[in-house]
Amino acid sequence: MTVVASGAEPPRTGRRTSQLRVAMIGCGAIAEAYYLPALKQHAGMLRQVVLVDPDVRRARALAAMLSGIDARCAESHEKVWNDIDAAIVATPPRAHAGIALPLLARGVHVLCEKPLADSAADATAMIARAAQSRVCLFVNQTRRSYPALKRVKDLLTSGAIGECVTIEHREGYRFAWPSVSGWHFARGNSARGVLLDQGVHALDAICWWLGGKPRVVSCRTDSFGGPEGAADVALQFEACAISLSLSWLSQLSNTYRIVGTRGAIEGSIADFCRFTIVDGRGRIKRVKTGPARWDYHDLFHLFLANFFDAVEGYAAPLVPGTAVLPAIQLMDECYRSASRMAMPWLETLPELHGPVS
Amino acid sequence: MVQSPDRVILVTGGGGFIGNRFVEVIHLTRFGRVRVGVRRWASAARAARFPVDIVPCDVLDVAQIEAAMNGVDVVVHCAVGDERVVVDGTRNVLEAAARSQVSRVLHISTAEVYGSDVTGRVDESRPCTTTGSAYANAKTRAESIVREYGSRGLPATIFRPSIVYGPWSDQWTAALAERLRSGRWRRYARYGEGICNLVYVDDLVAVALSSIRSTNAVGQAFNVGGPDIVTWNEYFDRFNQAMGLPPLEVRSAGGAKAKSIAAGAVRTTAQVLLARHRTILRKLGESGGWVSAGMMGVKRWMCTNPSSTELEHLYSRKAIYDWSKARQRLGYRPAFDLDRGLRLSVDWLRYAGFEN
Repeated sequence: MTVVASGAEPPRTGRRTSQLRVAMIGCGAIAEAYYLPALKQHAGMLRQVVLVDPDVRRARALAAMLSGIDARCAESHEKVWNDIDAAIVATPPRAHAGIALPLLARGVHVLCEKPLADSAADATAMIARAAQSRVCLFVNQTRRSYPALKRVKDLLTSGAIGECVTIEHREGYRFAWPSVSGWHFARGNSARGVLLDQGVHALDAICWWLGGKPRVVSCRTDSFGGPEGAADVALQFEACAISLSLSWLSQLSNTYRIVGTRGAIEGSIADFCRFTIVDGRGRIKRVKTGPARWDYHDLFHLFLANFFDAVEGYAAPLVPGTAVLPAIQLMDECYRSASRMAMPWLETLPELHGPVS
Repeated sequence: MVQSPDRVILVTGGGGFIGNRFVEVIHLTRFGRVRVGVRRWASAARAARFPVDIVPCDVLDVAQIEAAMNGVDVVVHCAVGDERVVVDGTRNVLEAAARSQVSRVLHISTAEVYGSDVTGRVDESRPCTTTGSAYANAKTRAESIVREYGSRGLPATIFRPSIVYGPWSDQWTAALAERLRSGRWRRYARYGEGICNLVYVDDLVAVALSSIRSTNAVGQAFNVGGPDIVTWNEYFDRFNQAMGLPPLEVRSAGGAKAKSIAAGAVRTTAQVLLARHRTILRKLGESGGWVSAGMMGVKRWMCTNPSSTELEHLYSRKAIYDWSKARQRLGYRPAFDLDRGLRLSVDWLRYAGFEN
């Protein structure tokens, strides 16, 4: 098997012949809903899939989804790291580095679910280890593959709306992820919430679009020591003021709006393929960049195809680990400067109940 | 309020509107060590902002309840859902509580147990009825189960709040705000002249928790209401005003009735279509074209017009739920009048992303 450093060499051409041994590490909701159906679609590229989860019964149950593929199960990645070519790491983010580092050191290519890591230190270590071992470290940062957001990036780079003046990003849903383990909320796990989970998408899009990392002006969250459910972030990049509202407790508008010196771009976060441009004279143009019926299964299929191709040198990685590092660093900076947002409805408690901790 | 950091308090339905508020108050005031029981992890997001124990507690899963009940002193039973959840779930919770010999169960019921056709001043001596909605019927049956366990020695207290509003209330704050913001909501003439028995959520939580130290609360049921007696039309007006919206127009009784009948017909048609063609409709809804815009429009229209049931059985109900018993026995004094409760609700709406 040809081993390439992350996107460092030109892609090979020709027909792929080898088959990969892949570990699916973490058998939670995302593995079940997206990775396994995508793996099944790529059955021809796979010699074997190993499902890894501390709950082996869960792994066995999911293995049944891979009919037609040689699937086996293990309770720990340590038991299989010598028998695999590539691994998909879809565990809670806090565990990503601990799992990925030894795999990368052993020459295993890694596709990591977003966020790459829950701290910049871990992300940096993973990127360095991948470079040392000359293996691929990919991130499934799905929005990088949205045709609409890619076109927005191209338009901003080409100066279609002039210099960016403001970016507003509002993203919020009632949390509804069918978590199997409850890792988002269980005590003892990360005390990082919506900013880690959803915010990393927004922060990455902003860094990607602007081609650099903004500085944090302010970050307010509703955390009382546990993972925050809402966050309001203000950032500044050169002359561009950025505001970010995130929530997994409330439905927000789920929109982005970029205002430039010669126009504006706005769109819905949920719309993979469409957005709107308003030019300097106020004329509105609706842009369609691809089929409207794309869904997340298409994106996972795309990422896995790219991962398998890139592992063997046939493609450059869509999102190498290095690409998302600024967003992880920015997330860290947000958490470091976070203060509590005003919540007047909690300030009334002492009247009824005495002093509040 | 007596703080007791070692007292373990299990809140069932800890991911819901009222359950979550119990969690926040118990934790922040150190009233006890709160254990948050949730049916699904997805509902734990609000409670998890605090460093509290969150445990799976589907009230239909006896093993989960048993595990959640371990070492518990007090149970605040807020879990709601369909009839099975309310009735069988309550029995499961009480059975586990009895086995664990908890010192108190606070059962959060509803004033709907008196039925939807009551009038006049309604105190706790009024018999509960099973002629109301499916929800009210289930709650009435759940109360019977509480009394059954009470007669076997389980110390339990029942609370019957009326319209609980405030931050995080989907029904009486967020959904109503959406209706008011739509510009389609109205005052509904005589259909809105029933009494809106509002109670701010913190007043309910405070009186329920204060009852724990009161031995004469055991085996009792208490109505819980707020200090203001207002009509529904007045509530709509004052909420609308607190949100800074233009004054509400008046819709005549005949017009309100006609619209509600039309909305009912649309709702019934939509339900039939959804039942038969859910997949196709979902795909159309996601297509993003004029069809999905039309479907969204119909949905909005239905949500922003009151149903016949709302007009005839709620907004025109002339009943006042009398909470004198809570005042006399528990020293209950609601601390939040409507103006203040609405101000805090509007503050919360801003946090929750509502924009006028």
